[in-house]
Amino acid sequence: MSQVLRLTRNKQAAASFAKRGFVSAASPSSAFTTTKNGVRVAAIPDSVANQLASVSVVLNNGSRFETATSAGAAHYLKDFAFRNSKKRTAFRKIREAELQGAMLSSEVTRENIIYTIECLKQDVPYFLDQLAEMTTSTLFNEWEFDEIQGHVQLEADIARANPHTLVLENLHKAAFRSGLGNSLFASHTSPISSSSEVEEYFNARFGSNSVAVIGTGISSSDLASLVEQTQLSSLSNNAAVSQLSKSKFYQGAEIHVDASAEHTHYAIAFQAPNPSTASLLAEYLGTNSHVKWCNGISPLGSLSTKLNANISAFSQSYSDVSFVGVNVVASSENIASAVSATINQIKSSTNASQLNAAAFERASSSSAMKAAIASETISGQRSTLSNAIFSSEHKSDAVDANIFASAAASVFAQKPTVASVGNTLSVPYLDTL
Amino acid sequence: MASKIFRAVLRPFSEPWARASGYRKYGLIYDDLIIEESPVAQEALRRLPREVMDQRIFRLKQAFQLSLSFEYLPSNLQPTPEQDKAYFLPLIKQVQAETNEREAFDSLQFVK
Repeated sequence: MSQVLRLTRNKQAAASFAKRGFVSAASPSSAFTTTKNGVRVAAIPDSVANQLASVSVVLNNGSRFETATSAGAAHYLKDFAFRNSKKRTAFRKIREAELQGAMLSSEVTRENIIYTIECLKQDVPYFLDQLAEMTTSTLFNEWEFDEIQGHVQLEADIARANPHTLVLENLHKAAFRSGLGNSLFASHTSPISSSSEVEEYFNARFGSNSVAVIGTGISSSDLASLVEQTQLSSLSNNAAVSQLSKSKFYQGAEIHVDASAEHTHYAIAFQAPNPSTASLLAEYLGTNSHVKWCNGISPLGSLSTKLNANISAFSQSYSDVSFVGVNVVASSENIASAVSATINQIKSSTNASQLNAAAFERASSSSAMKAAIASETISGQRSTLSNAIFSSEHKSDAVDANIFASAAASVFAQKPTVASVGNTLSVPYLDTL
Repeated sequence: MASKIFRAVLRPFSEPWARASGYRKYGLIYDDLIIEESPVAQEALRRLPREVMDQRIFRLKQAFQLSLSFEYLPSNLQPTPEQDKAYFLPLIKQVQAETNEREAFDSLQFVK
């Protein structure tokens, strides 16, 4: 059987789009706009000529919106990406992507679910149409659920086998209890057992005010006008998507999980006033080494060398809360001394005499470097855009040396929240630190 | 158009025909008679919701038993024309469409 399939659905749109040109060097920074019905659109155009573009649909429906009856639904919803929808079967989507050299992916974060297609620039209108059709009319067939469940359980099991992932999950659980504390992964005890429950979770927060389209390698005005031509432009506002209540960071909470391993992972978190302070403080303490095969000279880096442990800082930021944390990995017999040495190091390196202009300079250039590296990759740009798109203001808070010094003093004076995975007989409890 | 006239002509005979063919006397409905020994029907069978599948198995077992004992189901228990609804054929058509789509893609000429 021989058939001719036309793959450029919207030929006119593709033609006018190609004429308009993609590279707009005039505005290298990203811009946030909205369509007429309120779908948020953001894109980062290329600063240099490049063949590659990507479009993503971001659903503001990550694991923080799960309740006791829908725990794990976000993970299942992530796996319902590119499944059968009204106009196209899953098979067709995959074959079309193969034919045009596109890559399909989906990810779940605590706040968002992101469906992404990376493709060549001339195919953007075509794949945006496919993404929009999929977002608005996935069928959630009951018979697809078994297959999805197998994959979801596999991913959850792999995540559970990784102590680093597990300790971060438990840290969130301890610090936020519900909401941001919900697990990213559907556990075996997840109450989700059918497609209709996933569909219900999806519909509860589906509307023009909780959907965003982000792109890279395309300008936001071009992307917005393309979005206007898809089904996403007929979405209406969903009143149930109310402003979320601000997450509360519970200080002094701790979760210790037993795991039979040689090493113990111990994470300590302090609430930070805003994302940029959190990132600066983490960089100041020392995230990971900038030099290969050596721990560096940051306060935590030199401590790592001394204790023969892996101690590094990290920061996590969400739309309403951010925290700075330190991850300590040491052999189980040394974990107690490593953790107390880490706490002492944090205390001593955040007193006023240590927090001079040079320290701030080092932290801010390291943080700027990290941001610059992230902005070079499509996935980095995507995570920057998707983290910012549902927050009300798109500016980052300016931090100078004085604000930095006072923030460091106040942040680390707070009671931390901790989580650990390893030998619970040897881990130090919070009140002993 | 031709099919519309064809339908209109044959429609009045459909109900007496179904009754005369006798499967309802064994408690079956029409979609139970579809031959299931084909890859397409097997896949369609897999997609049946659990409770529909249970009812189908019950009807088939009941029909075998009735046939063995040379009996008919009491008329008050026999499926009514309203109960004789297609539950299996739509799924077979869906799977057939997917198979056709796969064949089309496997032998496609790419026009861009």
